[in-house]
Amino acid sequence: MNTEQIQDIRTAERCSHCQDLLRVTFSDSDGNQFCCHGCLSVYEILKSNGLSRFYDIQKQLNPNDIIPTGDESHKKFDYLKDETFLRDYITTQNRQASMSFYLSGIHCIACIWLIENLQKIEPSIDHSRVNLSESTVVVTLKENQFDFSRVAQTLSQLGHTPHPLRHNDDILKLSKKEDKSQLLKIGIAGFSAMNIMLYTGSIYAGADSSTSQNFGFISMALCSPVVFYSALPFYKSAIGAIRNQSLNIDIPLALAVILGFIFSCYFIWIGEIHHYFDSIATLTFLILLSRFGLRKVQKLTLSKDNLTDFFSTVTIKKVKKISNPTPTEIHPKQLQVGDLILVEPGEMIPADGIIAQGETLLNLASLNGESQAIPFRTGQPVLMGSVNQSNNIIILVKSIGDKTNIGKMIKELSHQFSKSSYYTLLTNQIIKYFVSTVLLLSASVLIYFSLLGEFTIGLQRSLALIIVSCPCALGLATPLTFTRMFNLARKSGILLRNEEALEKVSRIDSLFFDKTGTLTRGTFEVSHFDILQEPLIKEVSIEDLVFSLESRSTHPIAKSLKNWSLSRRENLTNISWESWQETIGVGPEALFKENVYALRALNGSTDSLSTQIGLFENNQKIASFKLNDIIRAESSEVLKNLRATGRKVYLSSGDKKDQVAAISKELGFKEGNYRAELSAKEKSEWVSQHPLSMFIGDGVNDTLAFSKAYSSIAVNGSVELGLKVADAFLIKDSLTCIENLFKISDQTIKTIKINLIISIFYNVFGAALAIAGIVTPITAAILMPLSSASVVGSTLWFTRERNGTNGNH
Amino acid sequence: MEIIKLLIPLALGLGACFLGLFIWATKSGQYEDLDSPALRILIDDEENINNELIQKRNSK
Repeated sequence: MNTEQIQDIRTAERCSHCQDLLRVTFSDSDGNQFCCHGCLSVYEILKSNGLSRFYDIQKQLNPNDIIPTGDESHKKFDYLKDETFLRDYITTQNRQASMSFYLSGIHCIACIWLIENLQKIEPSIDHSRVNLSESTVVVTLKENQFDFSRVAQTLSQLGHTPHPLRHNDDILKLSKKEDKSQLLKIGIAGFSAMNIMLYTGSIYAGADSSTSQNFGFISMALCSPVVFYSALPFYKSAIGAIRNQSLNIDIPLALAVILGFIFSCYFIWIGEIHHYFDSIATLTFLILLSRFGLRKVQKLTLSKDNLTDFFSTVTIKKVKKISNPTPTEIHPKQLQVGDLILVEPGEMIPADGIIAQGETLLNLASLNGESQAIPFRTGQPVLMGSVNQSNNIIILVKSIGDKTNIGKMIKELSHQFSKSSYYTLLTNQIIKYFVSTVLLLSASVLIYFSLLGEFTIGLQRSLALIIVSCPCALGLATPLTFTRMFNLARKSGILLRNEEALEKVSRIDSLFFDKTGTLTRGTFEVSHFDILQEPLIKEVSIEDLVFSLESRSTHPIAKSLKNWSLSRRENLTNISWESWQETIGVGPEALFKENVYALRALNGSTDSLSTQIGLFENNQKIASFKLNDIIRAESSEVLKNLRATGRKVYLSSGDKKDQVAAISKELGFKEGNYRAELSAKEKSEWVSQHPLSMFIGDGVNDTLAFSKAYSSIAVNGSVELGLKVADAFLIKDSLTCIENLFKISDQTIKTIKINLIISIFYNVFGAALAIAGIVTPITAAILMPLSSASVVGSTLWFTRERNGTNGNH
Repeated sequence: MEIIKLLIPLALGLGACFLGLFIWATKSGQYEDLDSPALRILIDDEENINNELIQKRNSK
């Protein structure tokens, strides 16, 4: 008997491509080691095309960046050859065609360098240009070349899945236009504010009256573009609020700008040297700037409304007839009801429909959370999101996109999430009271003084009141706080859906974890194997047999067995079987030189955390494998720290009882704090018993539980879909981010509260001074920037990056 | 104080020039991608690297 154990995980060796720690090793002919076949193939592509500098740039400039792993699926992207499809996607100039792609996984300089040198790998490319802010690349082909499928293949092999972008996408264009116009407004407001200050400064310094008046006219001229152009968004939003019969922060802002400007003009006209022009311009500039910052940060989380975009990573194989199953690959946008599509093992079904031919096992985990695959037969209806696990099937499409079952569910969920949360409501309430109080007060001041016969004084004081009590803290500090915190969260590996998502987190008192893929890595690995007997045929090894048996299967267990064989031997022979078949739910079986080989699950596994597989030769066991789903290294530590904060931690799983019990024991879940064999519905019911719960799960698979939980985090899957169904998405594959999220959320709430207090204090003080008549334009000019500075200062101070948000206290 | 009649239009004119440049830069899309140009400059041209290597070899 020959027992060996795979190397311990914590050896310091790293993959030559992605720098990840090596668990399973693949070697190339030069002795470089890799963590997976994807990395190995990217390395080889780069090496054979003279692009090995990629690794120098990567190491030299930013050793901590994540490098995408190569994609092994070998998609063909046939639709990128199709003329009718290309019409909407390419632009041509001088007979050179260009096309934009959205690329996943470009973060660093090495990626930019590699993608801009793509012509060395794919000679039909003339040049390509990356836009890192938008994660897009524009690829231009050489003259008279129109085949973008090879470009897409190359990108996909390098690990950057390409999503073609329409060249006249309205939403994209509109958002760009909006960005530009906001930037122009900010630029003009800034220019005016700074120039006006020069002239106002000399007025305050005591310039003589004729100079002062001339300076006043110059200031008026400089201020008018601010009032008539830069401040337009305030007016629009104020009018919108009045139409809806509600109050918002833009109403006093708009009033301050318009009234301030009119009366300043009047003051200048009558020869009074003081005016509010500088205050108006500075206020507009600062508030526009902080709003622009927030908009930019929120845009980073990429919100696309079209559901089909999520599935554009899936390439759909369309077939013409059942009798003629030669597929052509099409883009999800080309898919229509009534089409016949081929779904191969390992692929997700991209639409709701009926099986037109074939029978297979489908995994419905994304729909009901059950990890056990269910057999389906010709004529049975299937749902989008199910994963095909065993055989080729042809599906007749019945509904697509938003009209499918899961599409409806996600759409509903997106609506649910637009509900406001506590702090937003609180802030809105405060704004309403605040605005109505200011308006009432200034009106009564005006009426009071007019009754006394002092109309001009009344006018001046009520104007001073509106300008001085302009809610800077609410208008400026809150967006700034969120901007800073979103960036901080992103740095520590979390993408947030919106502001509410961040506020909600600090109120959470119980956390529900999913097991597979969340607390565990979700991939099986061979931890033990026994070779009982060498195969009868001398020229093949156990590894050859395992690899060849599983070579056509895409089941996770098959994958890990293939990896095991690859890591054991460099030159495997792929045996050409005389016959091969996979029985659903059992495993593959094949014939070679009159011997029958099969892989089957072994009954009576002794250890409940693992699965055991046997290799059989003519029904006699010749080798056995033990596969484990490995618990994440950080899980136990993170759970411990979360418990220490006084929050309750639960484990909810759809897996078998003994498995869950074993893992709970290891991670310290007490009896009653974990439940096993839960369906998706039972999970969501359990979660909804806790009003302030957070569900941490596996992306789309836990959609139902996400919808019932107060807050949610998606750990795996695509970013777009993750943020559609959950409040937050982990971009780093580590649970420690969750700990950080709690700290960041607490910090945010604290900062917002402090800013509210400062601004309330300031406004009460300012209002009192204004009514007493002490606030003249000069005091307003001092008080306003001072209040802005104080809230900005407190925001920057309280949102600063602390050691605590990146590690332990 | 007569000089101010020259200086103010001059100052405003200069300011307007830069504002014009800013508007032009925005409209021509230079603010659309602020991240990649900052990184791109750090990549040395391959020819320069080769030249440096040749120089090093020669000096030895």
